[in-house]
Amino acid sequence: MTSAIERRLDALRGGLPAEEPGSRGIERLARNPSCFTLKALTITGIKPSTAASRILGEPERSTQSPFALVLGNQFERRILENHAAMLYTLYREQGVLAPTESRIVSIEEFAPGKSWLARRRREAETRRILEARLRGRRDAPNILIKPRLTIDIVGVPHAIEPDFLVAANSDLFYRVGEIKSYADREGKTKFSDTRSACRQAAVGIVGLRQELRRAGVRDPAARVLPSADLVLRGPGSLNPRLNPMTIEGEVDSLERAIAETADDLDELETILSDGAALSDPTVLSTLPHNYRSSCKEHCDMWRICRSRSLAAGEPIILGEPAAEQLASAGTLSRALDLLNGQGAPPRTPAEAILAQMLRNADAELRRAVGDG
Amino acid sequence: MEEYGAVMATRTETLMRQLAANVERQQRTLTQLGLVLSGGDSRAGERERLNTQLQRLVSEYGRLNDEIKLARLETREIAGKRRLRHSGRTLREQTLDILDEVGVPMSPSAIVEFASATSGVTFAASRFASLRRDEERASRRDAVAKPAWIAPALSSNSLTSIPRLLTSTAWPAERRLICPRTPRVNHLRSLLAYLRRYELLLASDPPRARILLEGLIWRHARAVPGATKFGEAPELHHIRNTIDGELSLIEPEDEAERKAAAERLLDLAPAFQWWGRPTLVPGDAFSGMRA
Repeated sequence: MTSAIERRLDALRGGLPAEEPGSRGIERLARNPSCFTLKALTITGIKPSTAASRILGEPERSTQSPFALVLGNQFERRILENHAAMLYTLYREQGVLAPTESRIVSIEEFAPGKSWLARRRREAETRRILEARLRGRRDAPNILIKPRLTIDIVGVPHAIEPDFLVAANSDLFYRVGEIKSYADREGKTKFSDTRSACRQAAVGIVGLRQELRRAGVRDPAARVLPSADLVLRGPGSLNPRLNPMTIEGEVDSLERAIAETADDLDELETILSDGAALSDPTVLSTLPHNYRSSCKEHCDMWRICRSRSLAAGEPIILGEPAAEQLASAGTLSRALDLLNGQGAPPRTPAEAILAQMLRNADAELRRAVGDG
Repeated sequence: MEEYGAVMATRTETLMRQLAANVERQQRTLTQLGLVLSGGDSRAGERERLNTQLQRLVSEYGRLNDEIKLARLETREIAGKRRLRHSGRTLREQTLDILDEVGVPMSPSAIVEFASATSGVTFAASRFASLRRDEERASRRDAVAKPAWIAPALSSNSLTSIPRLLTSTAWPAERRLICPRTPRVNHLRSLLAYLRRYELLLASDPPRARILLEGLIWRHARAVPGATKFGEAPELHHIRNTIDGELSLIEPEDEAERKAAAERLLDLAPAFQWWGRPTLVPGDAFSGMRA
């Protein structure tokens, strides 16, 4: 990272220490690509939870169930203990790996801990192994546990650690794998859980592609395909189940969002006046935002953004379908005016159509409830 | 042996001084925290930093306290007799015994599990970090003071240490090295060691064998393809045959790779042969990956 960019980001944070977003933070960029507040926070290195509590004074709320956390840790430990013996067995039983494809390396073992030296060592060892795989070396592992990859956002390297990478000897390159303790109910598995895991895996794929690009590979996408393995838990047990997923959409949206971040940084500096910083609640609360009902799944700023939308009378408060239908009105109060024939007459053909639709719907409602 | 008592008394004094220093640091941290909470210090992130620091100090306090208790117990013995722990042997001795029995590098948690399952002895995996450091320091002072030291396993690629895997320096070099297939081989060898112990215990104390070892063997055998079947009791002969089958496919090549790495290891200075080469980290975060 250049010192110039470091200075720009420091100035935008206004004295707050930089926070690593991790995979969850990076995948948020693609969840709501139209939300400038979310992008600004992610790029400058402020977590939405920090923004909500420390800057805007929201009470700190834990969003993760402690039971889910314990189960998640227990399941991951079970799968990865004894050098991922259970994971290897899962791939053998599914016919993905052969008996001789049992090269397993745990990156964490080389340099455990959170010290600067340990992290650099894990990054160096990961890069060495990726390069060995690129060159087709026979000793390249088939399973790589907790590799440490780097994703570059506006020139700032951010480390991510996918749960594992896997490749049979005949595979083009490694595939990202994520271990989640969600119960695998096949078609009835909760969609939001699967989607969240897929998005995290997409971050790993983008990380792998960036590593290959840095290694001089011209077309990383041809080697690192947009597919990942989710290891979920059999209901009522700690037995793993393998779910290969194709996540082209997730990877594309994330790559697009990351590609736009350089422009976003310039735009942020343009919007903020000289000396203004995101640590100032007045500045943060006036950044453009894009509240959606799905924001509560991934962003701790959702209550604040919803309040702003409510204060502005935005139709999104009533949900996405209502926002789409009332788009031509722009605000709820305008929609009510069109319904009741108050205020200015319809300004556009779209407003006129909406006014008629609202009046028809209102009439239907009154007939249905016996109001004549 | 009287010298041993004197050494332990000195150790107690050292630990007490460390404990006092820890308490002083805790008091300073609490004072700073009080200032932050009363609004006297509005630096962003300060409260969280102080909280983390306090937790770390409290954890260190607990560890020092435990060390003092152990040191005091050890000094209370009649001169000439060393206080023994649990089964009558020190952590160091038990670790070396387990490593020799299983015969492959093991993590502290695996050693703890084996000790607990096979002899009912329990000790904390967190004690191995200081054991490892003490072993290296003592061996550097006088390498021949003991016939074997507990040393980390070494990576076959870089010949640097892998701190989370322990070995005995009495082993030949190739047994202390880790190649890409070695973890899998080691898991299978460990399971064979469990089976051997189980059969020994089954002959002398069948109920204890079932209580201590059967569940563990089943759990580990589940991670060997084809060794177990859902809904059926583990069949030891079948598990052993399955393990032997997989080992026959992967162990010869693994052994050859380790022997080749051992030749490179033996070219290094003696201290590096046990403790590994120093770790070198590239200065540029992306070095080695640019075209």
